[in-house]
Amino acid sequence: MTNCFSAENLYRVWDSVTIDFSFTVEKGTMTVIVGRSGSGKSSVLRLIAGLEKFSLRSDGKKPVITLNGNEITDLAPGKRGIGMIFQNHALFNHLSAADNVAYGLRCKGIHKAEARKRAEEYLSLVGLTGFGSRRTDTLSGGEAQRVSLARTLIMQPPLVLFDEPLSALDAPLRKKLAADIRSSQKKENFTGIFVTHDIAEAKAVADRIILMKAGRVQWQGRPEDFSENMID
Amino acid sequence: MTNRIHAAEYSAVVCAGIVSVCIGVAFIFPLAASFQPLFNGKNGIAFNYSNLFRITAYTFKIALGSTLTAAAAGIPAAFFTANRSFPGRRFLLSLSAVPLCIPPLIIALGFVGTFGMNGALNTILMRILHLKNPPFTFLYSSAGVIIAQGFYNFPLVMAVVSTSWENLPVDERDAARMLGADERHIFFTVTIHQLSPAVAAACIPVFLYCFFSFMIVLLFGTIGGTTLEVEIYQAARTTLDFKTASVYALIETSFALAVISAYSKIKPAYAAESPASAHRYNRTKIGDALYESRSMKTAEYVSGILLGTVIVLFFLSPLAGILAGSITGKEGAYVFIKIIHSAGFRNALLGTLETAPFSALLCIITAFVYAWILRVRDPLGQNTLLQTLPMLPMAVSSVVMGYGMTLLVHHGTVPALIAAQAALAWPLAFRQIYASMCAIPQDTLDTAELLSDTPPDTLFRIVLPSCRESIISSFSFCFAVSMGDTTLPLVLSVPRFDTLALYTYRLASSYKFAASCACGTLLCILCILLFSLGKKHD
Repeated sequence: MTNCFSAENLYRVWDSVTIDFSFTVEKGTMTVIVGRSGSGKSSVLRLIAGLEKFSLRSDGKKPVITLNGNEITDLAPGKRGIGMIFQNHALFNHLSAADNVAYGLRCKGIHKAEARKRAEEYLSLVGLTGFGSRRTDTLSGGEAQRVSLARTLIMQPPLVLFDEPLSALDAPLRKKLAADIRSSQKKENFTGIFVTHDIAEAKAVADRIILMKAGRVQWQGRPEDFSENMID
Repeated sequence: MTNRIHAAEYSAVVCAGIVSVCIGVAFIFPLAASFQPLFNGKNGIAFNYSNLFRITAYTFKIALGSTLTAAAAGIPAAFFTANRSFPGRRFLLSLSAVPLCIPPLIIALGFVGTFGMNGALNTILMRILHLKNPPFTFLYSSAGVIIAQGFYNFPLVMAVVSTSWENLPVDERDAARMLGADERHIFFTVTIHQLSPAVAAACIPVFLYCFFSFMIVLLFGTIGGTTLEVEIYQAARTTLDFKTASVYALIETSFALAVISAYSKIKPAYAAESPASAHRYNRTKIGDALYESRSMKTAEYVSGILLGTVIVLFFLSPLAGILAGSITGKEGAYVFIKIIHSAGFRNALLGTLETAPFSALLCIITAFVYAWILRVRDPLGQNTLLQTLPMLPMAVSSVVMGYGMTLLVHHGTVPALIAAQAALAWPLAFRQIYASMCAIPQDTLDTAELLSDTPPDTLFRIVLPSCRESIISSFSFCFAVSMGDTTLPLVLSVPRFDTLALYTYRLASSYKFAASCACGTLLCILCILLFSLGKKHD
């Protein structure tokens, strides 16, 4: 398999943790980063997305992020070809579900009617047929996360980042949505990086697991080789 | 011994309850009295309707213009204070204390000292540019009133919007960024919607302050350009046309009540805007934000410089103008010594000390009692009526209250002045005390009640000590507000009685400008000292 994504020398100093992280992800696979709270998992995603600045390293090494062979390190977040699903859904509550999904297409200059039509299609894809005109603050947690997924997938990004997307949901719904995310990933064939602290969830969606401790890669390998006591 | 303590506690509770009821009466009766002339006589009301529409429209125009000016300066300033780090940021934020602790009269004097025909700025520019006429002539016009009021209140908008902006959840904006929106698009499609409750929550009180503005309009208003507040005063005190005064009072109060009702609906939406995201942006230097285009950076620098210039010109210069106005007279800095040794100043100081502490005391007692009732009766804050009641005094202006009180007591007295001030100002104390009372966990109160001998035990041993800081803070704040109040002492006109604020006004209206500025400066210093003392305990 070929590498779709690689990140080298991701470096960021926080008060509580210093992130120093390098890894690669194969095309069409889902890599899950697992770690305790405060280990820097979400910060790694934000650095990849371009939402955080890197810190300068004393050894002069520079961060390099490539996606499908193109360097994207200095590109603006919207120009990297990366989609992101947030923990709290990050839906725009003043817009309807369909307008949320169509938001990215409208930013690209696609006509409102066309964007809306495609948004309805993607809402159906995530099992929300007929939800287009609903206000997002009337949706349940699971529905909101599906809208968020549709909003990301409609842009057809080669890489999707999942920042603990299921952590605010209850256990049965988490299991169901984890399976849905996995099947969407297979169907749409995007590459994913999924962050979670939940081992069962990690094993349910992962092709590969990276264990993160204090901002660094502690272990990486296949889900079946990963055991819970590695975290301690 | 224990019985004696319990008896004292019960007596204190009863006294506080009586005081609160009295303050409630001191609010309702004058308010009712101010409308009473409407029902007198058989021939109905005879007054000029076109005047009524003109004055109402002018009042609305002035209030709206001032609010828009405050928002036009306050929202961009909030952008910089919330999102950027720059020298003077903390100073800019601290200016939010100015409208709270410096009376409008002082600001009006500052504007005269700076932009008046003989003001410092006009004099300097005329000398430097060899001009025959002063370049700034806007002061005694509607524009002058709007600029003075707008800039006086802009720090309030800035402070509220800045706090909200700083705490906005960043994920929505990040999601928009990831979907390809540029910063301008994000502002107009996401940020503006997130901020709108805070903008409304900041602008509505500012609109009301400007709607009720009296002193600035009285000093700068043009002939024909008068507001409801000034007209009520003129009708009640000069022409003694009580029916007209009552009609204006009714219209003004009804309109303010409608605004308050809108405000009470917006407030919960604003309060619900809590920080929901774990991620926060660090403030960046101006023009140093991530992925900002060069044109955006240039726009940021230019707007920062423009905004800074406007704030210095229309806000800081008038503040400096008060001091400048006092020392640039014939007597120079000696005017301060002269004024301090004058009998008028001494009487005014005594008058202030005779009213402000008592007014502040009544405010905190009423505020504490109502806050406790609300905490017990409506712990979840769901009773709209109980929650809205403390907002009602916001709908009544000092002039209407003073007018109603005059109709009730006929001759202004010091106790009437104290009661009227407390009846209007106690909600200021209530907000602080209620917030600190809400911070006491319900479990703590329940435990205290289980362990207490009598119900007042919880109040005196747990609630009162927990709210001590906010009580001290709100006492200082109400003291400063009462001390800076010119309107009620002016409207009530207590015979042979002056306060510092009223004395400053009298000096200004008798064209003793340097002495007036000197007295204003001293009043300003006292207000700031009291306010800072309160802030220490906040």
